[in-house]
Amino acid sequence: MAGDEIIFGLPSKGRLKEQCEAWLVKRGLFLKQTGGERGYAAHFDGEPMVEVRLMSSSEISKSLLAGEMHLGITGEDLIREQSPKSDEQVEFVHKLGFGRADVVVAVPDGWIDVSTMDDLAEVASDIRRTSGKRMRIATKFARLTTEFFEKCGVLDYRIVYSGSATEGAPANGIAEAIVDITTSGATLIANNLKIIDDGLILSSQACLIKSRIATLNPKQSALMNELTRKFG
Amino acid sequence: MPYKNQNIDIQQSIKIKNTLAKNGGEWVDLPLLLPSSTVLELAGEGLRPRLYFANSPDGEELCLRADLTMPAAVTFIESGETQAIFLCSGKVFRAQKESGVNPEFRQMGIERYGDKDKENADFAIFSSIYETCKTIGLNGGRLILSDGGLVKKILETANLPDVWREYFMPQANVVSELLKRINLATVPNTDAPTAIEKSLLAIKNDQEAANLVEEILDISKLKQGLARDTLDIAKRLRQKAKRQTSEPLSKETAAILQEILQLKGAPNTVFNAVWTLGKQINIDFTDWAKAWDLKIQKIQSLIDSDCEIVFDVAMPKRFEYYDGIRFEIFTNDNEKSLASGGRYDGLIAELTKGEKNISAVGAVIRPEVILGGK
Repeated sequence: MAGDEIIFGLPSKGRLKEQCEAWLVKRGLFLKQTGGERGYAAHFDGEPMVEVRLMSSSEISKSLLAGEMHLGITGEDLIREQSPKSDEQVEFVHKLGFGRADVVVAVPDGWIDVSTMDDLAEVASDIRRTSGKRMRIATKFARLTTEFFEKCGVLDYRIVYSGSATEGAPANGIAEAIVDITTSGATLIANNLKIIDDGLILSSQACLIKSRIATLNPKQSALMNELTRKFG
Repeated sequence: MPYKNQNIDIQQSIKIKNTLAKNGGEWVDLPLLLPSSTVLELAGEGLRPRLYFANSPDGEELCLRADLTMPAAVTFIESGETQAIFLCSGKVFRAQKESGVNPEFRQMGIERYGDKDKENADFAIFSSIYETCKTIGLNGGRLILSDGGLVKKILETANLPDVWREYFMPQANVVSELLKRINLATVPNTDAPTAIEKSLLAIKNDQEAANLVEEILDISKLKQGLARDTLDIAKRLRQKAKRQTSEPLSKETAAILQEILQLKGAPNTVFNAVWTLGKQINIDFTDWAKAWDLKIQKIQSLIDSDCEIVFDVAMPKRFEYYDGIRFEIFTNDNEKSLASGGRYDGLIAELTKGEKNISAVGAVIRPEVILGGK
């Protein structure tokens, strides 16, 4: 990162982008997209030294963790999933109160013998004993799943990567259970899945995040302090 | 890559290779990349955070080998042989918890398959590995021994109500979890079985039990997915109900089990304690203790008198496929693991889905622990 600008990452589209803009406007920061509505570069009105990059939430997380961006708004789930040492790499400056999503463990609703992670541990062992194979968990949250399952003593499972339509995995025979994000739970119910009582892995929301890795020269430090004051 | 490359010089390498080969065997090149599904199916997802992944052009997820045992077993199976001694050397790759520690390090080892005399094979491996450790400068040191099948044997033969035995068995490989379950089993259950569980307890016929669950799912418009049928669910509901209606595990029995599982110390002291405690829960450890006494004598005849021997009943398993003798050799400061190995008779059967049932034992040293710094 050459130059004296502060690099600020914002979600590039959808409801999340609108909510971010509204949150920033309340703090006196008005977004101006350089290439019009479809452009991916922008700045804040009256803040020429803040370079705003419009990117996917996932790319913002990666850039913050790598120190390629100073500030950004993205989901806590993405940061926690992408690095085991996220607290060393980034600082969660503000929880923004929108973009809420819970990362949960869900199983077929017909598993009436399963309501806790302890139950799931036993079912996993049963599946391994009878089929010789580990229970499959479809998810894109491999790290969060591994950490949570270890904490809960669930051992006999395997992760099957699922980038999208994860809720359909058990019905399609791709996996026996899933770990995914949910807001209302409606998609899970529609796919005959239920959330395990103690299966909440992370209650995530959009956060303003500062990279601890990105370097700051004196000018950038001063600007960062000014911005931080605006964010309150 | 900011890591310092660790290399041992050619003379040292030749010396190590000659010592490892003293009981025969052929040097083999092992694959660096393995299908990650195979590795994780065998080792469990607990290993995932330590693996390095890659994708093949056809989309298959691969990982760099995290040890030599698994690629050696795969190579042995592909060879079609029924007996072999493999000598192997090369880098393995494991992400380290501490930042800045090199994730790639050299292992050199021996893997033996299909030995008729298993005990002889165990000692041949141990002897070669220990001698190799001496060759590169081990002086004194500490040898930790364990029996990978002991915890399972304790749970199978202890005088325990079946309902608790069934509850404990799946955690036989992870003692921290097993200890938790033993504790839980002593707590009186305050939850009464549900109406469904009660009904299932009263039904003795499996098919009728499965039918009842099916009916409940139909009425409630619930689906059980493809992996489990209604009988599986009925059986588990019965198991849960049995636990809820059974007497808690006696605190005395729990205390004995927990004490045995945490025994670690001089072999004779541990064996005596295992024997005495085992007797209190109706396990006869006489034959087991005698067999291990003989093993210890033989091991003592192979090692220096200043090498401390410790027996650990429930030595943590880095890879859960070890099911027989296990050992780990530490340097004098007791901090660095220089060599480790053991018997893993179930691995070949698991990799071949039961087609081949061939015994296996292996061990590796990490020469850079002594020769190459961290």
